[in-house]
Amino acid sequence: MNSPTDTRYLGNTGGLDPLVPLPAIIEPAHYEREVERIFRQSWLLVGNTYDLPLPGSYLVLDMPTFNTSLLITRGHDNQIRAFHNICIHRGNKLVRSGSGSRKTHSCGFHGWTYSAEGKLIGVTDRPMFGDMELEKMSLPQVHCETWHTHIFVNFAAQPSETLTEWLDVMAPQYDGYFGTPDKNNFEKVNSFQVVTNGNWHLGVNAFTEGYHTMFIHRNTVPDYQGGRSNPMRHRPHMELMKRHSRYSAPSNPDHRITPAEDVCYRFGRKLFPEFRVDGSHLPKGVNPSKVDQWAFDVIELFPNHVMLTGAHWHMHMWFWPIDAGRTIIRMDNYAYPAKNAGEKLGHSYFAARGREVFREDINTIEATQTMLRSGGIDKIILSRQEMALQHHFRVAQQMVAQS
Amino acid sequence: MALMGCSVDDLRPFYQALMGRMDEIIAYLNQFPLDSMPEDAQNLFHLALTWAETAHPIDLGWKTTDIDDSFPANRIEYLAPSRAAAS
Repeated sequence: MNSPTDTRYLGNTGGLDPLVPLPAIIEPAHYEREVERIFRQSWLLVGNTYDLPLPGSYLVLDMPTFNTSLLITRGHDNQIRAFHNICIHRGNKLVRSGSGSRKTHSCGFHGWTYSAEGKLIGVTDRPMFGDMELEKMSLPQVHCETWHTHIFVNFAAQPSETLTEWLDVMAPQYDGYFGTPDKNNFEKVNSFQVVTNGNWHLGVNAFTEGYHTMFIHRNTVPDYQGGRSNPMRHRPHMELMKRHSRYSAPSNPDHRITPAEDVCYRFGRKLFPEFRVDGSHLPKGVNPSKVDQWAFDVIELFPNHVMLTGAHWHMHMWFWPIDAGRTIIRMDNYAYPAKNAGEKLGHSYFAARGREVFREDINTIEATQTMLRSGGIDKIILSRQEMALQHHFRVAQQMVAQS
Repeated sequence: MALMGCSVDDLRPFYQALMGRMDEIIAYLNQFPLDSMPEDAQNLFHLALTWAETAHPIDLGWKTTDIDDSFPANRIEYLAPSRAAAS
């Protein structure tokens, strides 16, 4: 590369269309096709083994996109499984909400009981069911696999690819980074969600380009990327895979550390938005071009997950559609495990600062949704620095077009 | 969020008071394991964390403790930490 403003492009960057008919894409009829042809055909990241630390651990994930709720458990065989959260007797929601640790789950309606592995192990007033072979029955299971600490499900009857194939070149590139299902290398710092009145595409798009950062984030992180030698904050690395994309954000070598940022990160490792850190411990997939002025990577796991990977932290965002015009956006933030009060201080600062940046990003969604429905434009216009969006729509349109 | 209910002028004395003493505060708190901190140390710990979470308006030179062009804070639903390790 000759200049700090150059982008190294990798992957299938030919044949992309910078003009995208987004108003038509966010129409309800199109959205219904997307649920069947995109969401139901994809491996979807749904959780982290951090939230299921023990045999018997469980959590409930309501999924309006699929008109279901999942009960995700760590069995006593240490296996992670996902079930439709439904009692097979009369269809009651088995576990109403939340998380915890239980050997068994009993339905509040008639007391039918299931093991943490999903098996029906207890039917009250059993003789009244006669000869029916209830003992062989279990909760309806959904395909579920883990990759490092990440839990994925697939609602297809038979997934067309294994999770490893789905993860493309990234599958072997993160060894040692996230951790394993039994030992997480990070701790969760905070977790929150919002319901926005906007289409899920707008949510994903808001987080998968850096072009907006100098405008949208001028109040919260005014100088965290780019700097004098790269004022428009061009991505040094932009990589398109079969479905996913990954780019690196450029740090600003002249970032001015503000006073509280300095104090809060003094007692432990530096976190967002301070990026002048030693990245030599990072595996192949993090800062894949090993650029010097590196801030973090942004990975879009198609269709609806965006993760940011930093040297000692990572952030995750999900965009779960409720319908064509409403989306649940969830954010979970992780940092290196804090050993003492000083390191926890850094975590608190990171959590608050990260949340403030997130709030600015999601603030574009409802206004954009409203105006895209006006009929004023029929296409949006994307720059080469918004190539992750061009690719996102190419993949989405291809999957919808397949019958 | 309580931060929304106060002005930068209200917040500034708190910001300045703890900024000046944070090295001392952390040196004291770092003596204790996180999961068995005595009660008075815990109070100081929570005060320090509150400082970390409320410093950004002063740090970034804002004129108000929240900015207009941002998604409303009262629409954020905080999710409790997983209770999966309990019981």
